[in-house]
Amino acid sequence: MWSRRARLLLGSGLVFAGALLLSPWLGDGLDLTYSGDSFILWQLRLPRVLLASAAGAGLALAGVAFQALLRNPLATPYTLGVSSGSALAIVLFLVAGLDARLGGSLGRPLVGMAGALLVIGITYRAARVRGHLPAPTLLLAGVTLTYVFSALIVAVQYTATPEDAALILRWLVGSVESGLGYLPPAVVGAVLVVALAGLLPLGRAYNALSGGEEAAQGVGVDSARVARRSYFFASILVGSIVAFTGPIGFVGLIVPHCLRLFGAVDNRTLLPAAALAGAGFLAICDGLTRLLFAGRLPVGVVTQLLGGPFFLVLLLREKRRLY
Amino acid sequence: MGSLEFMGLGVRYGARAALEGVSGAIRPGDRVGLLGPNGSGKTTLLRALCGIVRPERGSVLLDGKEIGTLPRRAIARGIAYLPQEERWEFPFTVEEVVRCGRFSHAGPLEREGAGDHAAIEEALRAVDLLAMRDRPITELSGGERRRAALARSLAQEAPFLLLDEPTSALDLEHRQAILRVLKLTPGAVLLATHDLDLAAEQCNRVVVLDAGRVAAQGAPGEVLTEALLERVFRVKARVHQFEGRIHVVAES
Repeated sequence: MWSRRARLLLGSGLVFAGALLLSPWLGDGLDLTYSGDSFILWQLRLPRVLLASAAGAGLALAGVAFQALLRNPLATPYTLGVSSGSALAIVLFLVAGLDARLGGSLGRPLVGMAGALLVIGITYRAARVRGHLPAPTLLLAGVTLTYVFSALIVAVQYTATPEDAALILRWLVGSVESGLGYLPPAVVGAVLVVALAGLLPLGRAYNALSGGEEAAQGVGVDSARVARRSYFFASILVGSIVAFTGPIGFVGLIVPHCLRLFGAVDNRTLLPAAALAGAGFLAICDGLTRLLFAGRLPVGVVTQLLGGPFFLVLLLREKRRLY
Repeated sequence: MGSLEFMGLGVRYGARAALEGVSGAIRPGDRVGLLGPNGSGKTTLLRALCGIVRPERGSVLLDGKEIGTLPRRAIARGIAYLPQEERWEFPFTVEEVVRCGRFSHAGPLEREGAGDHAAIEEALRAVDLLAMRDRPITELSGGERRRAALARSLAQEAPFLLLDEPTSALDLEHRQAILRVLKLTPGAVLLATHDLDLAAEQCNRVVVLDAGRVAAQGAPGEVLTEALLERVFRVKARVHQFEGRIHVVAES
């Protein structure tokens, strides 16, 4: 008899492995005896699938961290303005034409991370009272910043040249088609490894925090330190992902929630399971964009088109079970 | 077994003084009742004693060490604090909630040992939740959740227990059961409560707070007088003593 933890991790791992093996073959059939098709597989599709996997893992992991800290199943990197903050930083970076000049593609993730950290720093400072971080104030500050940044992004886009505006639009819907080969998956993968090392040991602290900050402090959790550490690692993760893919929504919300429905409430299990399942989910979504929409729709749209109804069905089933 | 002392504690919330010049000590084996009207400073005192609230004046010493200088884990191994209320958003099982009490006993990567399992079992048994260990905390009644939270504090196995209204929302049977647990627990207990009868029955000492200051302290039979109830709680009440127990009846 396998323990629940082992079953959940194995299941999530199988989702990821299956997606990794399957996704590159979704879309127009490939004949690898032709060098053109071989190029498509190795230089176009595989980097996409790898970037989708790393980004999906990171967004789901960050989702779990934000949900645990804010004690709110609806929290995501969007909720605290982290996504929109790094998006604004990237948009300014692109419009200023710095992408090509400043170390090319390596400058982008650095700008994205800096934007995310700046935003979380402002939110943190705004919400902190006497060493405490009240979740409602944090949420209010984060949602407010999201509105401000979204308005600024629209302002930049509106006044930009038509070429820049089109570039921004394409990037804002969220796409794993970076056109930069293996560099984006390598960068995001490296940041993901760092973030996993920082966040995976916090499972027990997240569990204790679910009963409230005081209850957690009472059993020995240094809640302020856990919050700082979580925000740091989640921010660099989201910042580096957004830099290459644009803001892809929804992954950080539905992947952890689905896993909780399957019984992964304990954060010691949920953190690694969400990383695996999130990687598999976004890789499959990317394959489906090729299969169903001939690659004409970006994965950010497909994630929400396919994920939304799927999530609603799950919620309805859950409701039937509870009432 | 350790010591918990506090001298001249002063805490302000904005312009309002929540505690002023509060001193005392809790010794091993103590059962101390912390009484006082709403807003008199009971919860603030408990928070200050476990280092969650930093007092502006005075100091708290756990085993002779200033509590502000200790890491949270070290504090939690000495003091278990049960807050007055908590809300669980995620469907953790009762056992997972109680397991949180073992946080300070292991590092993040350490696996649970036999000591952790034994403490969790014993705590579940003490609050009569063994049969509900796999139920989601979000589906329990208020009293059941309260017992799970108390079990978490018991599983902490700390020499000092600071409990804020542990019997709120409990039915009569479980209130009695919890009282037996508190009587038997090896740790010293500081119990904030509005239940004067309970404090009189359970505690060898009571401390009465009024507007952040100690209004009276000592043996329950000496402190809980009709004069004190009128002065501090602003109610006219009769205090009946029989068979060594005290019963307070407020006059309408």
